Amino acid sequence: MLTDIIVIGSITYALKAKNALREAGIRARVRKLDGSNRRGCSYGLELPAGQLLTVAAILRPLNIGYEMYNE
Amino acid sequence: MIYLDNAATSYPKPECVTEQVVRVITECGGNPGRSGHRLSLAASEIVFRTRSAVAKHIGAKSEENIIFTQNATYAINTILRAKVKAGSHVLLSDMEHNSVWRPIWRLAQDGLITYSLFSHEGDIRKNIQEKLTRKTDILICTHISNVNGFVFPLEEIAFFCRARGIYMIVDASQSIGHRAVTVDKIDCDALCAPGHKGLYGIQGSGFFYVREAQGLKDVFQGGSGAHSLSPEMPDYLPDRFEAGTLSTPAIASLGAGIAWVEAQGVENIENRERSFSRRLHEYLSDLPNVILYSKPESGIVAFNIAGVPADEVAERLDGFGICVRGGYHCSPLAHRSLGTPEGGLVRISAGAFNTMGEAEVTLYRLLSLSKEYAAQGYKKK
Repeated sequence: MLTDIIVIGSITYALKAKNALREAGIRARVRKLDGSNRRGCSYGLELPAGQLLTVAAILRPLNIGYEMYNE
Repeated sequence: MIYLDNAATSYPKPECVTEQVVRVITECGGNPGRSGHRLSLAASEIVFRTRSAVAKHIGAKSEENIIFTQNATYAINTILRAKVKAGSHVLLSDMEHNSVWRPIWRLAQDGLITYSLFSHEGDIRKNIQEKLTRKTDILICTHISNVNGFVFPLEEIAFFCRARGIYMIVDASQSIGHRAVTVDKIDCDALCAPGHKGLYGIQGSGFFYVREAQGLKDVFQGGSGAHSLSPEMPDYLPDRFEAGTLSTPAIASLGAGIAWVEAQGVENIENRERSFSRRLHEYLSDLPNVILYSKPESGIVAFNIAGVPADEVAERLDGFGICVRGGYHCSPLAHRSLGTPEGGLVRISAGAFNTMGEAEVTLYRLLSLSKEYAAQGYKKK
């Protein structure tokens, strides 16, 4: 299945985002992402493809910042 | 055995707490927030769930406003050092524990800050007003005294602080789990609490709440699991204050303890402990050679048998299988305020498991001790 991955950073925010998405019916998986970005280790979410607009609408009010991850 | 030292740490722990600790050690033994494998993620889930439970329990707006520590002392030290700046003037009550006084004293000794004590007696707002200086920017106050159970009017103090831009820190060590503690209602900036007292977690659990991260510098530095290429601690909560590996078993025990406390009902626990305390107060106030230093406002009963060292009374009670604490309770300021700086006092502190039957047994033993010492000529001066 195609997936999108977003980088969140801290595990607390990744889990908070996962729970918020689950309440909205979106199943996400927390992943530790490799440290190749400029900041080092990060956690992120693996999401079903095509849900990014909905995800943005859910995470914005919670002040959960993220960026796209390119594997 | 009758355990009446719940102000030091609660005992026994609910069965669900013990079970959760064992489960977490055996099944979720990874390092939370560090790796990507299942054991690390399972530990992270446990930590996050507890963070949510704490936030909900104290009415915090979000999980990230809860920072885990190993106890209330570390929480208080951390928030104080995060907030003070050179030249700060800090106000603290005359009933504070050494967990508050010692870090403030050290900061003052180092020439960084000055501090003043305000009295808990009479008009507290007036007492605070009298100690204000132009540099007063932090006030720290316990919710309930660990020595005699005195309850501070936190909402009134917070209102006073808010109007003057003073950062207010609450030490909820003796109130959390024993009565409703709601940060929004109190309107404080920060609140520190242990997990192993009224919330029935194990020793090694504690936390603090902060309203916002702005204006707080990190105190401990180290691994946080994210943004690891930077020499700086992350600027967001809770990571800014959580350097190094968290104790997942202790945090899990706190989560299980909160669930247990909430299932009992905080109000029910408060009523039970106050009934216990009321019964002891009623009886002890009638004994001619007993000096009471408390009122039945909480589960704490503070007293002395006239002329008898507090530690001797505590030891005698231990001989009857009753665990209480004598001495200074790490609170020399409070003992100075109460007029018990020599030898301290005997403290009985009830918890959720104590029964009225245990109150009667305790009273019976105290009556016999009181008579015995009276017969030996010990009496009130």
